[in-house]
Amino acid sequence: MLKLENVQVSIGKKRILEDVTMHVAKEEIVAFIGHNGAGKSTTLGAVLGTHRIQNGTIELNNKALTNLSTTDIVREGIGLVPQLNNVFRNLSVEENLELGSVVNQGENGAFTIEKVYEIFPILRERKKQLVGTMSGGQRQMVAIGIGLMSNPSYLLLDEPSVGIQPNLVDKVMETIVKVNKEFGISILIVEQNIKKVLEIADRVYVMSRGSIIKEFVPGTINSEELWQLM
Amino acid sequence: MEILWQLFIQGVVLSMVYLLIASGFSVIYGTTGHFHISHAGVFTLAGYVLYLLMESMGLPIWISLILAIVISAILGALIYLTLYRAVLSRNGTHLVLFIASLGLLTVIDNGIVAIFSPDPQTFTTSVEFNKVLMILGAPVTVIQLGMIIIGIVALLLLYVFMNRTKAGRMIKAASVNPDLSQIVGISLKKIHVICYAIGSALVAIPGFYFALDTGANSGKGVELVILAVMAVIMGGIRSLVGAWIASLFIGMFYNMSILWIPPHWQTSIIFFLFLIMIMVRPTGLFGQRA
Ligand SMILES: Nc1ncnc2c1ncn2[C@@H]1O[C@H](COP(=O)(O)OP(=O)(O)OP(=O)(O)O)[C@@H](O)[C@H]1O
Ligand SMILES: [Mg+2]
Repeated sequence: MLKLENVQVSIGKKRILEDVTMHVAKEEIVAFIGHNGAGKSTTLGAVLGTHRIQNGTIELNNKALTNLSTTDIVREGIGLVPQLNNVFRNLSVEENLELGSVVNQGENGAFTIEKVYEIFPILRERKKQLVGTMSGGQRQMVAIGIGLMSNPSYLLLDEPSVGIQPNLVDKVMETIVKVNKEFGISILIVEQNIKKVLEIADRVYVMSRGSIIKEFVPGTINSEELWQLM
Repeated sequence: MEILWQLFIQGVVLSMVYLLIASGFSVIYGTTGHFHISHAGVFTLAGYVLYLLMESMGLPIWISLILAIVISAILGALIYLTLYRAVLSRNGTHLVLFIASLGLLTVIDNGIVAIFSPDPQTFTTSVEFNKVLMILGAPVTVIQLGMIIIGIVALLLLYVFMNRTKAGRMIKAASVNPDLSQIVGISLKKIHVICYAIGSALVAIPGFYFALDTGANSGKGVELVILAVMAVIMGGIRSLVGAWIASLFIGMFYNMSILWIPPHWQTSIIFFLFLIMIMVRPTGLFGQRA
Protein backbone atom coordinates (compact mmCIF):
# COMPACT_ATOMS: atom_id res chain seq x y z
CA MET A 1 0.00 0.00 0.00
CA LEU A 2 1.13 3.50 -0.89
CA LYS A 3 0.19 5.87 1.90
CA LEU A 4 0.47 9.64 2.27
CA GLU A 5 -0.26 11.11 5.67
CA ASN A 6 -0.62 14.81 6.45
CA VAL A 7 1.74 15.71 3.64
CA GLN A 8 2.66 19.37 3.44
CA VAL A 9 4.70 20.90 0.61
CA SER A 10 5.84 24.47 0.03
CA ILE A 11 7.56 25.79 -3.05
CA GLY A 12 9.57 28.81 -2.11
CA LYS A 13 7.51 30.61 0.47
CA LYS A 14 4.20 29.45 -0.98
CA ARG A 15 2.36 26.58 0.67
CA ILE A 16 1.13 24.32 -2.15
CA LEU A 17 -0.05 21.22 -0.29
CA GLU A 18 -1.76 21.92 3.01
CA ASP A 19 -2.49 18.53 4.47
CA VAL A 20 -2.79 15.60 2.10
CA THR A 21 -3.81 12.18 3.38
CA MET A 22 -4.58 9.48 0.84
CA HIS A 23 -3.65 5.95 -0.07
CA VAL A 24 -3.60 3.48 -2.93
CA ALA A 25 -4.10 -0.16 -2.00
CA LYS A 26 -2.47 -3.01 -3.85
CA GLU A 27 -3.95 -3.57 -7.32
CA GLU A 28 -6.36 -0.69 -6.94
CA ILE A 29 -7.11 1.99 -9.54
CA VAL A 30 -7.49 5.34 -7.81
CA ALA A 31 -8.56 8.49 -9.63
CA PHE A 32 -7.27 11.84 -8.46
CA ILE A 33 -9.23 14.87 -9.65
CA GLY A 34 -9.53 18.55 -8.88
CA HIS A 35 -9.44 21.94 -10.53
CA ASN A 36 -6.39 23.41 -12.24
CA GLY A 37 -3.71 24.40 -9.76
CA ALA A 38 -5.21 22.33 -6.94
CA GLY A 39 -1.90 20.59 -6.31
CA LYS A 40 -2.34 17.18 -7.97
CA SER A 41 0.94 17.21 -9.89
CA THR A 42 2.73 18.52 -6.82
CA THR A 43 1.37 15.58 -4.82
CA LEU A 44 2.76 13.10 -7.37
CA GLY A 45 6.08 14.96 -7.32
CA ALA A 46 6.18 14.65 -3.54
CA VAL A 47 5.75 10.86 -3.81
CA LEU A 48 8.64 10.63 -6.29
CA GLY A 49 10.83 12.81 -4.09
CA THR A 50 11.17 15.58 -6.66
CA HIS A 51 9.35 17.94 -4.28
CA ARG A 52 10.62 18.06 -0.71
CA ILE A 53 7.93 17.66 1.91
CA GLN A 54 7.90 19.89 4.97
CA ASN A 55 5.62 17.75 7.06
CA GLY A 56 3.93 14.38 7.06
CA THR A 57 4.99 10.96 5.82
CA ILE A 58 4.88 8.95 2.62
CA GLU A 59 5.15 5.19 2.97
CA LEU A 60 5.23 2.25 0.60
CA ASN A 61 4.34 -1.06 2.29
CA ASN A 62 5.13 0.53 5.66
CA LYS A 63 8.55 1.68 4.53
CA ALA A 64 9.15 5.43 4.62
CA LEU A 65 9.98 6.97 1.26
CA THR A 66 10.27 10.43 2.69
CA ASN A 67 14.04 10.66 2.89
CA LEU A 68 14.95 8.49 -0.08
CA SER A 69 16.42 9.85 -3.30
CA THR A 70 14.24 9.67 -6.40
CA THR A 71 16.44 6.88 -7.76
CA ASP A 72 15.78 4.83 -4.63
CA ILE A 73 12.06 5.58 -4.73
CA VAL A 74 11.93 4.29 -8.33
CA ARG A 75 13.90 1.26 -7.19
CA GLU A 76 11.27 0.64 -4.50
CA GLY A 77 8.73 0.28 -7.30
CA ILE A 78 7.10 3.62 -7.97
CA GLY A 79 6.83 4.98 -11.49
CA LEU A 80 5.55 8.35 -12.70
CA VAL A 81 4.35 9.49 -16.10
CA PRO A 82 4.54 13.26 -15.70
CA GLN A 83 2.06 15.72 -17.13
CA LEU A 84 4.57 17.80 -19.09
CA ASN A 85 7.93 17.14 -20.73
CA ASN A 86 7.41 13.43 -20.36
CA VAL A 87 9.63 12.17 -23.20
CA PHE A 88 13.23 12.57 -24.35
CA ARG A 89 12.77 14.43 -27.62
CA ASN A 90 16.34 13.96 -28.86
CA LEU A 91 16.20 10.17 -28.67
CA SER A 92 14.38 7.49 -30.64
CA VAL A 93 11.27 5.67 -29.44
CA GLU A 94 13.30 2.61 -28.61
CA GLU A 95 15.96 4.58 -26.73
CA ASN A 96 13.24 6.36 -24.76
CA LEU A 97 11.72 3.05 -23.71
CA GLU A 98 15.12 1.62 -22.78
CA LEU A 99 15.75 4.59 -20.51
CA GLY A 100 12.56 3.73 -18.68
CA SER A 101 14.25 0.62 -17.34
CA VAL A 102 17.60 2.02 -16.19
CA VAL A 103 16.74 1.26 -12.59
CA ASN A 104 14.50 -1.81 -12.67
CA GLN A 105 15.53 -4.05 -15.51
CA GLY A 106 12.92 -6.52 -16.68
CA GLU A 107 12.97 -9.66 -14.63
CA ASN A 108 10.61 -12.57 -15.13
CA GLY A 109 7.11 -11.46 -15.96
CA ALA A 110 8.23 -7.86 -16.08
CA PHE A 111 7.60 -5.25 -18.72
CA THR A 112 9.74 -5.37 -21.82
CA ILE A 113 9.89 -3.22 -24.92
CA GLU A 114 8.05 -6.03 -26.74
CA LYS A 115 5.12 -5.77 -24.33
CA VAL A 116 4.94 -2.02 -24.80
CA TYR A 117 4.87 -2.56 -28.57
CA GLU A 118 2.03 -5.04 -28.15
CA ILE A 119 0.02 -2.37 -26.35
CA PHE A 120 0.95 0.42 -28.77
CA PRO A 121 1.75 -1.23 -32.13
CA ILE A 122 2.36 2.15 -33.77
CA LEU A 123 5.46 2.53 -31.60
CA ARG A 124 6.97 -0.63 -33.07
CA GLU A 125 6.56 0.77 -36.57
CA ARG A 126 8.29 3.96 -35.50
CA LYS A 127 10.87 2.61 -33.11
CA LYS A 128 13.77 4.41 -34.84
CA GLN A 129 11.96 7.75 -35.10
CA LEU A 130 13.08 10.69 -32.96
CA VAL A 131 10.35 11.26 -30.41
CA GLY A 132 10.62 15.04 -30.87
CA THR A 133 9.25 14.59 -34.40
CA MET A 134 6.16 12.60 -33.35
CA SER A 135 2.63 13.84 -32.81
CA GLY A 136 1.39 14.76 -29.34
CA GLY A 137 -0.69 11.59 -29.04
CA GLN A 138 2.16 9.36 -30.12
CA ARG A 139 4.48 11.09 -27.67
CA GLN A 140 1.96 10.41 -24.93
CA MET A 141 2.10 6.68 -25.77
CA VAL A 142 5.89 6.81 -25.51
CA ALA A 143 5.53 8.54 -22.15
CA ILE A 144 3.24 5.82 -20.82
CA GLY A 145 5.63 3.23 -22.24
CA ILE A 146 8.55 4.79 -20.34
CA GLY A 147 6.51 4.61 -17.14
CA LEU A 148 5.69 0.94 -17.68
CA MET A 149 9.29 0.11 -18.52
CA SER A 150 10.34 1.06 -15.00
CA ASN A 151 8.38 -2.00 -13.87
CA PRO A 152 6.62 -0.22 -11.06
CA SER A 153 4.30 -1.88 -8.62
CA TYR A 154 2.62 1.53 -8.28
CA LEU A 155 2.25 3.65 -11.42
CA LEU A 156 1.30 7.31 -11.09
CA LEU A 157 -0.14 8.86 -14.25
CA ASP A 158 -0.54 12.62 -14.60
CA GLU A 159 -3.25 13.34 -17.20
CA PRO A 160 -2.25 10.58 -19.60
CA SER A 161 -5.07 11.29 -22.07
CA VAL A 162 -4.24 14.95 -22.67
CA GLY A 163 -3.73 15.67 -26.36
CA ILE A 164 -4.94 12.27 -27.45
CA GLN A 165 -7.75 12.00 -29.99
CA PRO A 166 -11.11 10.95 -28.43
CA ASN A 167 -11.22 7.40 -29.77
CA LEU A 168 -7.70 6.80 -28.46
CA VAL A 169 -8.63 8.07 -25.01
CA ASP A 170 -10.67 4.90 -24.59
CA LYS A 171 -7.66 2.95 -25.72
CA VAL A 172 -5.48 4.62 -23.09
CA MET A 173 -8.05 3.87 -20.39
CA GLU A 174 -8.28 0.27 -21.57
CA THR A 175 -4.51 0.03 -21.42
CA ILE A 176 -4.50 1.25 -17.86
CA VAL A 177 -7.11 -1.32 -16.85
CA LYS A 178 -5.17 -4.01 -18.68
CA VAL A 179 -1.91 -3.09 -17.00
CA ASN A 180 -3.71 -3.13 -13.69
CA LYS A 181 -5.51 -6.45 -14.17
CA GLU A 182 -2.85 -8.42 -16.05
CA PHE A 183 0.27 -7.17 -14.36
CA GLY A 184 -1.16 -6.28 -10.98
CA ILE A 185 0.19 -2.73 -11.17
CA SER A 186 -1.61 -0.37 -8.78
CA ILE A 187 -2.65 2.90 -10.41
CA LEU A 188 -3.03 6.48 -9.24
CA ILE A 189 -4.35 8.51 -12.15
CA VAL A 190 -4.87 12.27 -12.40
CA GLU A 191 -7.46 13.04 -15.08
CA GLN A 192 -9.45 15.98 -16.40
CA ASN A 193 -11.71 13.62 -18.32
CA ILE A 194 -13.78 12.80 -15.25
CA LYS A 195 -16.45 10.79 -16.99
CA LYS A 196 -13.89 8.42 -18.50
CA VAL A 197 -11.80 8.02 -15.41
CA LEU A 198 -14.80 7.30 -13.20
CA GLU A 199 -15.55 4.34 -15.47
CA ILE A 200 -12.29 2.65 -14.56
CA ALA A 201 -11.58 3.83 -11.02
CA ASP A 202 -12.19 1.85 -7.84
CA ARG A 203 -12.00 4.98 -5.72
CA VAL A 204 -11.72 8.73 -6.25
CA TYR A 205 -10.04 11.57 -4.38
CA VAL A 206 -10.98 15.18 -5.01
CA MET A 207 -8.40 17.85 -4.26
CA SER A 208 -8.96 21.56 -3.83
CA ARG A 209 -6.42 24.20 -2.84
CA GLY A 210 -3.86 21.73 -1.62
CA SER A 211 -6.16 19.54 0.46
CA ILE A 212 -8.22 16.43 -0.16
CA ILE A 213 -11.83 17.54 0.19
CA LYS A 214 -13.64 14.33 -0.72
CA GLU A 215 -13.12 10.62 -1.16
CA PHE A 216 -15.77 8.46 -2.82
CA VAL A 217 -16.51 5.32 -4.79
CA PRO A 218 -17.78 5.93 -8.34
CA GLY A 219 -21.56 5.53 -8.59
CA THR A 220 -22.15 6.52 -4.99
CA ILE A 221 -22.55 10.22 -5.65
CA ASN A 222 -24.56 11.90 -8.37
CA SER A 223 -23.12 14.22 -10.95
CA GLU A 224 -24.66 17.32 -9.38
CA GLU A 225 -22.82 16.67 -6.13
CA LEU A 226 -19.65 16.03 -8.08
CA TRP A 227 -19.83 19.31 -10.00
CA GLN A 228 -20.25 21.18 -6.76
CA LEU A 229 -16.96 19.74 -5.55
CA MET A 230 -15.03 20.73 -8.63
CA MET B 1 51.56 27.63 -52.72
CA GLU B 2 53.89 25.82 -50.35
CA ILE B 3 53.37 28.39 -47.63
CA LEU B 4 49.62 28.01 -48.04
CA TRP B 5 49.91 24.28 -47.56
CA GLN B 6 52.04 24.75 -44.47
CA LEU B 7 49.56 27.17 -42.99
CA PHE B 8 46.81 24.71 -43.77
CA ILE B 9 48.56 21.95 -41.84
CA GLN B 10 49.20 24.29 -38.91
CA GLY B 11 45.54 25.25 -39.10
CA VAL B 12 44.54 21.61 -38.79
CA VAL B 13 46.61 21.35 -35.60
CA LEU B 14 45.14 24.48 -34.09
CA SER B 15 41.64 23.37 -35.07
CA MET B 16 42.19 20.15 -33.20
CA VAL B 17 43.16 22.16 -30.12
CA TYR B 18 39.87 24.12 -30.29
CA LEU B 19 37.94 21.00 -31.16
CA LEU B 20 39.04 19.17 -28.04
CA ILE B 21 38.60 22.14 -25.71
CA ALA B 22 35.18 22.88 -27.23
CA SER B 23 34.02 19.26 -27.08
CA GLY B 24 35.05 19.03 -23.45
CA PHE B 25 33.28 22.27 -22.60
CA SER B 26 30.22 21.23 -24.58
CA VAL B 27 29.89 17.87 -22.83
CA ILE B 28 29.94 19.66 -19.47
CA TYR B 29 27.87 22.72 -20.33
CA GLY B 30 25.31 20.87 -22.44
CA THR B 31 24.42 18.59 -19.57
CA THR B 32 24.96 20.62 -16.43
CA GLY B 33 24.39 24.15 -17.71
CA HIS B 34 27.44 25.21 -15.66
CA PHE B 35 29.66 27.83 -17.26
CA HIS B 36 32.80 25.99 -16.23
CA ILE B 37 35.45 28.61 -16.98
CA SER B 38 37.88 26.64 -14.79
CA HIS B 39 38.01 24.33 -17.79
CA ALA B 40 40.98 26.62 -18.57
CA GLY B 41 42.47 25.74 -15.17
CA VAL B 42 42.21 22.03 -15.91
CA PHE B 43 43.91 22.70 -19.26
CA THR B 44 46.82 24.32 -17.39
CA LEU B 45 46.96 21.73 -14.61
CA ALA B 46 47.10 18.92 -17.17
CA GLY B 47 50.37 20.31 -18.56
CA TYR B 48 51.92 20.54 -15.11
CA VAL B 49 50.74 17.08 -14.10
CA LEU B 50 52.44 15.72 -17.22
CA TYR B 51 55.56 17.70 -16.34
CA LEU B 52 55.66 16.26 -12.82
CA LEU B 53 55.14 12.71 -14.05
CA MET B 54 57.73 12.86 -16.82
CA GLU B 55 60.34 15.21 -15.43
CA SER B 56 60.13 14.86 -11.66
CA MET B 57 59.20 11.16 -11.54
CA GLY B 58 60.92 10.18 -14.76
CA LEU B 59 58.05 8.05 -16.07
CA PRO B 60 57.98 7.16 -19.76
CA ILE B 61 55.82 9.35 -21.96
CA TRP B 62 53.03 6.86 -22.69
CA ILE B 63 52.48 5.99 -19.08
CA SER B 64 52.68 9.67 -18.16
CA LEU B 65 50.09 10.61 -20.78
CA ILE B 66 47.62 7.97 -19.65
CA LEU B 67 48.12 8.78 -15.97
CA ALA B 68 47.86 12.51 -16.62
CA ILE B 69 44.58 12.06 -18.52
CA VAL B 70 43.13 10.06 -15.64
CA ILE B 71 44.35 12.59 -13.07
CA SER B 72 42.90 15.48 -15.11
CA ALA B 73 39.55 13.70 -15.30
CA ILE B 74 39.58 13.21 -11.54
CA LEU B 75 40.54 16.87 -10.96
CA GLY B 76 37.59 18.00 -13.11
CA ALA B 77 35.20 15.72 -11.25
CA LEU B 78 36.55 16.97 -7.93
CA ILE B 79 35.96 20.60 -8.88
CA TYR B 80 32.32 19.68 -9.42
CA LEU B 81 31.98 17.52 -6.33
CA THR B 82 33.57 20.02 -3.95
CA LEU B 83 33.28 23.62 -5.10
CA TYR B 84 30.28 23.54 -7.45
CA ARG B 85 28.14 21.23 -5.36
CA ALA B 86 28.84 23.36 -2.32
CA VAL B 87 27.59 26.40 -4.22
CA LEU B 88 24.55 24.60 -5.64
CA SER B 89 23.55 22.92 -2.40
CA ARG B 90 23.27 26.37 -0.81
CA ASN B 91 20.93 27.41 -3.63
CA GLY B 92 23.65 29.32 -5.45
CA THR B 93 22.57 30.33 -8.94
CA HIS B 94 24.51 29.52 -12.08
CA LEU B 95 25.87 33.05 -12.01
CA VAL B 96 27.33 32.47 -8.55
CA LEU B 97 28.76 29.20 -9.81
CA PHE B 98 30.39 31.01 -12.71
CA ILE B 99 31.98 33.54 -10.34
CA ALA B 100 33.21 30.70 -8.13
CA SER B 101 34.67 29.02 -11.21
CA LEU B 102 36.40 32.23 -12.24
CA GLY B 103 37.81 32.53 -8.72
CA LEU B 104 39.09 28.98 -8.84
CA LEU B 105 40.76 29.65 -12.18
CA THR B 106 42.61 32.61 -10.67
CA VAL B 107 43.68 30.48 -7.71
CA ILE B 108 44.96 27.74 -10.04
CA ASP B 109 46.86 30.11 -12.34
CA ASN B 110 48.42 32.09 -9.50
CA GLY B 111 49.06 29.03 -7.35
CA ILE B 112 51.06 27.51 -10.17
CA VAL B 113 53.12 30.66 -10.61
CA ALA B 114 53.81 30.67 -6.85
CA ILE B 115 54.96 27.06 -6.91
CA PHE B 116 56.75 26.81 -10.26
CA SER B 117 57.67 30.46 -10.99
CA PRO B 118 56.17 32.35 -13.94
CA ASP B 119 58.61 30.76 -16.37
CA PRO B 120 57.48 27.90 -18.59
CA GLN B 121 58.62 24.49 -17.38
CA THR B 122 60.23 22.99 -20.44
CA PHE B 123 60.59 19.27 -20.91
CA THR B 124 64.11 17.90 -21.26
CA THR B 125 62.74 15.49 -23.82
CA SER B 126 61.24 18.25 -25.90
CA VAL B 127 64.06 18.29 -28.47
CA GLU B 128 63.16 14.81 -29.55
CA PHE B 129 59.46 15.66 -29.72
CA ASN B 130 60.09 18.77 -31.72
CA LYS B 131 61.75 16.78 -34.45
CA VAL B 132 60.29 17.87 -37.77
CA LEU B 133 58.77 15.34 -40.13
CA MET B 134 57.79 16.16 -43.68
CA ILE B 135 54.24 15.12 -44.34
CA LEU B 136 52.94 15.68 -47.86
CA GLY B 137 55.52 18.38 -48.23
CA ALA B 138 54.67 20.26 -45.05
CA PRO B 139 56.84 20.31 -41.94
CA VAL B 140 55.06 18.83 -38.92
CA THR B 141 56.60 18.19 -35.54
CA VAL B 142 56.22 14.86 -33.78
CA ILE B 143 54.13 16.55 -31.07
CA GLN B 144 51.78 18.09 -33.62
CA LEU B 145 51.31 14.77 -35.35
CA GLY B 146 50.75 13.04 -32.00
CA MET B 147 48.24 15.72 -31.04
CA ILE B 148 46.24 15.21 -34.24
CA ILE B 149 46.22 11.42 -33.98
CA ILE B 150 45.35 11.30 -30.28
CA GLY B 151 42.78 14.03 -30.84
CA ILE B 152 41.04 12.12 -33.61
CA VAL B 153 41.01 8.93 -31.53
CA ALA B 154 39.60 10.83 -28.54
CA LEU B 155 36.85 12.45 -30.62
CA LEU B 156 35.91 9.13 -32.22
CA LEU B 157 35.73 7.54 -28.78
CA LEU B 158 33.57 10.41 -27.57
CA TYR B 159 31.24 10.03 -30.53
CA VAL B 160 30.88 6.29 -30.06
CA PHE B 161 30.43 6.68 -26.31
CA MET B 162 27.68 9.27 -26.74
CA ASN B 163 25.78 7.45 -29.46
CA ARG B 164 26.37 3.77 -28.89
CA THR B 165 26.47 3.24 -25.14
CA LYS B 166 23.81 3.32 -22.51
CA ALA B 167 25.76 5.84 -20.42
CA GLY B 168 26.00 8.11 -23.47
CA ARG B 169 22.25 7.92 -23.98
CA MET B 170 21.72 8.74 -20.32
CA ILE B 171 23.89 11.84 -20.77
CA LYS B 172 21.93 12.90 -23.86
CA ALA B 173 18.70 12.28 -21.98
CA ALA B 174 19.85 14.31 -18.97
CA SER B 175 20.94 17.18 -21.18
CA VAL B 176 17.55 17.57 -22.85
CA ASN B 177 15.23 16.60 -19.99
CA PRO B 178 16.87 16.49 -16.56
CA ASP B 179 13.54 16.28 -14.71
CA LEU B 180 12.38 13.19 -16.55
CA SER B 181 15.85 11.67 -16.21
CA GLN B 182 15.47 11.90 -12.47
CA ILE B 183 11.97 10.50 -12.59
CA VAL B 184 13.13 7.38 -14.42
CA GLY B 185 15.74 7.01 -11.71
CA ILE B 186 18.88 8.36 -13.35
CA SER B 187 21.12 10.03 -10.77
CA LEU B 188 21.90 13.48 -12.14
CA LYS B 189 24.83 13.77 -9.77
CA LYS B 190 26.46 10.68 -11.28
CA ILE B 191 25.80 11.93 -14.80
CA HIS B 192 27.34 15.28 -13.97
CA VAL B 193 30.42 13.65 -12.45
CA ILE B 194 30.87 11.58 -15.61
CA CYS B 195 30.51 14.69 -17.80
CA TYR B 196 33.09 16.64 -15.79
CA ALA B 197 35.48 13.69 -15.99
CA ILE B 198 35.06 13.26 -19.75
CA GLY B 199 35.23 17.00 -20.45
CA SER B 200 38.38 17.36 -18.35
CA ALA B 201 40.04 14.37 -20.03
CA LEU B 202 39.35 16.01 -23.39
CA VAL B 203 40.78 19.41 -22.43
CA ALA B 204 43.87 17.71 -20.99
CA ILE B 205 45.03 16.61 -24.45
CA PRO B 206 45.66 20.12 -25.86
CA GLY B 207 47.05 20.95 -22.41
CA PHE B 208 49.71 18.27 -22.94
CA TYR B 209 50.35 19.52 -26.46
CA PHE B 210 51.07 23.08 -25.38
CA ALA B 211 53.20 21.89 -22.46
CA LEU B 212 55.32 19.58 -24.61
CA ASP B 213 55.58 22.14 -27.38
CA THR B 214 56.54 25.29 -25.48
CA GLY B 215 56.73 24.18 -21.85
CA ALA B 216 54.07 23.93 -19.16
CA ASN B 217 52.87 27.44 -18.47
CA SER B 218 50.16 29.12 -16.46
CA GLY B 219 47.52 31.54 -17.75
CA LYS B 220 47.40 30.25 -21.33
CA GLY B 221 44.07 28.51 -21.06
CA VAL B 222 41.57 31.35 -20.81
CA GLU B 223 41.87 32.74 -24.32
CA LEU B 224 41.76 29.27 -25.82
CA VAL B 225 38.72 28.33 -23.75
CA ILE B 226 36.89 31.53 -24.64
CA LEU B 227 37.48 30.91 -28.36
CA ALA B 228 36.38 27.30 -27.87
CA VAL B 229 33.24 28.45 -26.05
CA MET B 230 32.58 30.73 -28.99
CA ALA B 231 32.84 27.68 -31.23
CA VAL B 232 30.36 25.85 -29.02
CA ILE B 233 27.88 28.72 -29.27
CA MET B 234 28.47 29.17 -33.00
CA GLY B 235 27.92 25.48 -33.57
CA GLY B 236 24.82 25.41 -31.43
CA ILE B 237 24.91 24.39 -27.79
CA ARG B 238 24.42 20.64 -27.41
CA SER B 239 25.43 20.01 -31.01
CA LEU B 240 28.82 18.27 -30.90
CA VAL B 241 29.07 18.24 -34.67
CA GLY B 242 28.26 21.95 -34.80
CA ALA B 243 30.99 22.71 -32.27
CA TRP B 244 33.42 20.65 -34.32
CA ILE B 245 32.70 22.51 -37.54
CA ALA B 246 32.97 25.90 -35.83
CA SER B 247 36.27 24.86 -34.16
CA LEU B 248 37.66 23.88 -37.53
CA PHE B 249 36.62 27.22 -38.92
CA ILE B 250 38.24 29.20 -36.10
CA GLY B 251 41.47 27.18 -36.19
CA MET B 252 41.72 27.48 -39.95
CA PHE B 253 40.86 31.15 -39.96
CA TYR B 254 43.61 31.90 -37.45
CA ASN B 255 46.24 30.23 -39.53
CA MET B 256 45.21 30.87 -43.08
CA SER B 257 44.34 34.52 -42.55
CA ILE B 258 47.92 35.27 -41.50
CA LEU B 259 48.61 35.74 -45.19
CA TRP B 260 46.14 38.57 -45.61
CA ILE B 261 45.27 39.97 -42.21
CA PRO B 262 47.72 41.52 -39.75
CA PRO B 263 47.97 39.28 -36.64
CA HIS B 264 46.69 41.93 -34.24
CA TRP B 265 43.47 42.13 -36.24
CA GLN B 266 42.71 38.44 -36.26
CA THR B 267 41.07 38.10 -32.86
CA SER B 268 38.96 41.22 -33.40
CA ILE B 269 37.77 39.95 -36.75
CA ILE B 270 36.90 36.51 -35.38
CA PHE B 271 34.87 38.09 -32.58
CA PHE B 272 33.25 40.48 -35.04
CA LEU B 273 32.16 37.57 -37.24
CA PHE B 274 30.93 35.82 -34.11
CA LEU B 275 28.82 38.80 -33.08
CA ILE B 276 27.24 39.07 -36.52
CA MET B 277 26.47 35.36 -36.54
CA ILE B 278 24.98 35.47 -33.07
CA MET B 279 22.73 38.39 -34.09
CA VAL B 280 21.48 36.53 -37.14
CA ARG B 281 21.19 33.10 -35.58
CA PRO B 282 21.36 33.19 -31.78
CA THR B 283 20.84 29.44 -31.46
CA GLY B 284 23.96 28.71 -33.47
CA LEU B 285 24.44 27.05 -36.83
CA PHE B 286 23.13 23.67 -35.77
CA GLY B 287 21.14 24.61 -32.68
CA GLN B 288 17.44 24.00 -32.56
CA ARG B 289 15.42 27.17 -32.72
CA ALA B 290 13.46 27.69 -29.55
N1 LIG C 1 7.73 25.41 -9.42
C1 LIG C 1 6.72 26.08 -8.91
N2 LIG C 1 6.91 27.29 -8.36
C2 LIG C 1 5.89 27.99 -7.81
N3 LIG C 1 4.64 27.56 -7.77
C3 LIG C 1 4.38 26.36 -8.31
C4 LIG C 1 5.39 25.55 -8.91
N4 LIG C 1 4.82 24.41 -9.34
C5 LIG C 1 3.54 24.52 -9.05
N5 LIG C 1 3.25 25.68 -8.43
C6 LIG C 1 1.93 26.12 -7.96
O1 LIG C 1 1.40 25.08 -7.19
C7 LIG C 1 0.01 24.99 -7.38
C8 LIG C 1 -0.35 23.56 -7.70
O2 LIG C 1 0.21 23.19 -8.93
P1 LIG C 1 0.02 21.73 -9.53
O3 LIG C 1 0.77 21.69 -10.80
O4 LIG C 1 0.36 20.74 -8.51
O5 LIG C 1 -1.54 21.71 -9.82
P2 LIG C 1 -2.41 20.63 -10.58
O6 LIG C 1 -3.50 20.26 -9.67
O7 LIG C 1 -1.56 19.56 -11.11
O8 LIG C 1 -3.00 21.52 -11.76
P3 LIG C 1 -3.33 21.14 -13.29
O9 LIG C 1 -4.65 20.45 -13.29
O10 LIG C 1 -3.42 22.47 -13.96
O11 LIG C 1 -2.23 20.29 -13.80
C9 LIG C 1 -0.34 25.98 -8.46
O12 LIG C 1 -0.89 27.11 -7.85
C10 LIG C 1 0.97 26.34 -9.09
O13 LIG C 1 0.96 27.67 -9.50
MG1 LIG D 1 -1.04 18.99 -12.95
